[in-house]
Amino acid sequence: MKFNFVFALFFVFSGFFASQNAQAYPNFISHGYGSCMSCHYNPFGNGPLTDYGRAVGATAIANRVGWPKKMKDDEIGEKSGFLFGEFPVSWLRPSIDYRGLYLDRSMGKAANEDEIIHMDLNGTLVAKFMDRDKLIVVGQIAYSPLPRGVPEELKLDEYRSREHYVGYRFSKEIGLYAGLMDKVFGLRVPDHIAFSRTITGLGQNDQTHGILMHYMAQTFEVGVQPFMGNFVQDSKLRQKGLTTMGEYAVSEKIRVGGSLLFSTSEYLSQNMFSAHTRMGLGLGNSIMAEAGQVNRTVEATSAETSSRYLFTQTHFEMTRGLFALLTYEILQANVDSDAKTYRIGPGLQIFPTQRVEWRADLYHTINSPESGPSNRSFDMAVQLHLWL
Amino acid sequence: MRKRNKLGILCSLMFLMSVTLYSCGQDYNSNSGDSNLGQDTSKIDCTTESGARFCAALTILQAECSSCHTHSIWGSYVTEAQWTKKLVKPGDADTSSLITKLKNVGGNMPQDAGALSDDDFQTLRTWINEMPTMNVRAKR
Repeated sequence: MKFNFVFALFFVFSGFFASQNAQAYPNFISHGYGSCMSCHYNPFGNGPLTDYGRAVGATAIANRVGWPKKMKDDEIGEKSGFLFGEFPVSWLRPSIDYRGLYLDRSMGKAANEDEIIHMDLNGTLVAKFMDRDKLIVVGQIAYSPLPRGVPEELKLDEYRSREHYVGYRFSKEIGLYAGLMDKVFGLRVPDHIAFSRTITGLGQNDQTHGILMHYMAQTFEVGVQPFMGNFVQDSKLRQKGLTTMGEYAVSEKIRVGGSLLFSTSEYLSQNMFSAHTRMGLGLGNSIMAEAGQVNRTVEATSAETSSRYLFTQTHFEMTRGLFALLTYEILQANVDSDAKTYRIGPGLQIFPTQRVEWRADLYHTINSPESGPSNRSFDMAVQLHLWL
Repeated sequence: MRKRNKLGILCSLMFLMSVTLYSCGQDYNSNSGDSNLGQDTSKIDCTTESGARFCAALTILQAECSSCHTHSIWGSYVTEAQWTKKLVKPGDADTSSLITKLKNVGGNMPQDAGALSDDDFQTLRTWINEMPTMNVRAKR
């Protein structure tokens, strides 16, 4: 009761502020969900949730603020479908998803600036057929603002489709997916400013057309994805190549994995590799880590650059729906240089009730070697994620 | 049952096709500015005094700024006129946003890297301060 009251207060209070981003996450291994496929249509996560995933989110991850005390969790789970009920067409699953960010950069400095970014508003429709939904068709339309500074002459769209694909599972173990999807690589964390997402070019808009082959055994899971780039881009720009990721389950709540990606375009060739682990430590608590290297060659000049990164994040579940986070990252943008960037940040992730997620992170960034007055900075990111 | 499935599949494929058509047009991705990587700078005359200042500044800008500012196509800026469009005020480094945004003077750029070295910082300042205002305007 007390917790519900605290949640309700926080929810109302934080509503005066606003918004960025986060979904069913790799750290949910701490709840026993080692494979993303338990809850997502895409076997490597992100994108629309299955009915089961929605119910898990409503009954095991989120708190129950706003629901009558007498209502059992099972009954709340039954209300987790689109618009709080069972969709009348049994083979269709629509969903609407919004993510917003309030970003306050260089706090306390002359360069301080803050902004609200409506990162994503999307509508997704999943059509599923055959026994155990063997065949799925997923389509999405999304609004996504352009970053500041993008010249108008590029005539880029603010509307996009981040995923549209057809998937077929030949068996529980083997699945084949074709269309526009995220690239399989490393930990698919929702921290879009994480070095493991930015330096690898695996941001929220970096999906590619391709074919994803997924194999899942009792203790092993692997994805192989040849890709051709995003067809809406000029063909010269498209990165074409192959990426693969494998994970081995050391135990129910400990997984280790590795990823490898090769791709090339008219302008840039790149290869990258990484190793990662996800560990659940009791119910709701977890540690995730990913370390990797990205090698790039500019085709016009043959200039080569290698970058390395480390991403670690711990989650501690204080009570149902309330997580304390600690993120620690290192980036060495050029391995030939001593310069490194360290980022450490505590955070809170809150699911007060189903369909709502708040997250607040305070990042302390340190550039080393320290040579000037601005080599340390504090940034704050507050995210709001809503879905129907 | 089979009829329903066929109809469903047909509708889904039509939906998928419409989504694909709807998403036609250039999207912004991390690699949207890749075509600006490694721009040809061989046509810049670095033998004159002002040309040498620009070449020195451009080397720093390409190394420290352009790799991240791909979305704002800085990598394609190989003339002074392109830099003076918004980022540089000829003859006035102190109020040029290219300078005021730098960590060296309390800004937050370059992001995820340290402040520029003093030498590089002074090279940029000198380039801007020595830039002949009239000539740049005339070139635009």
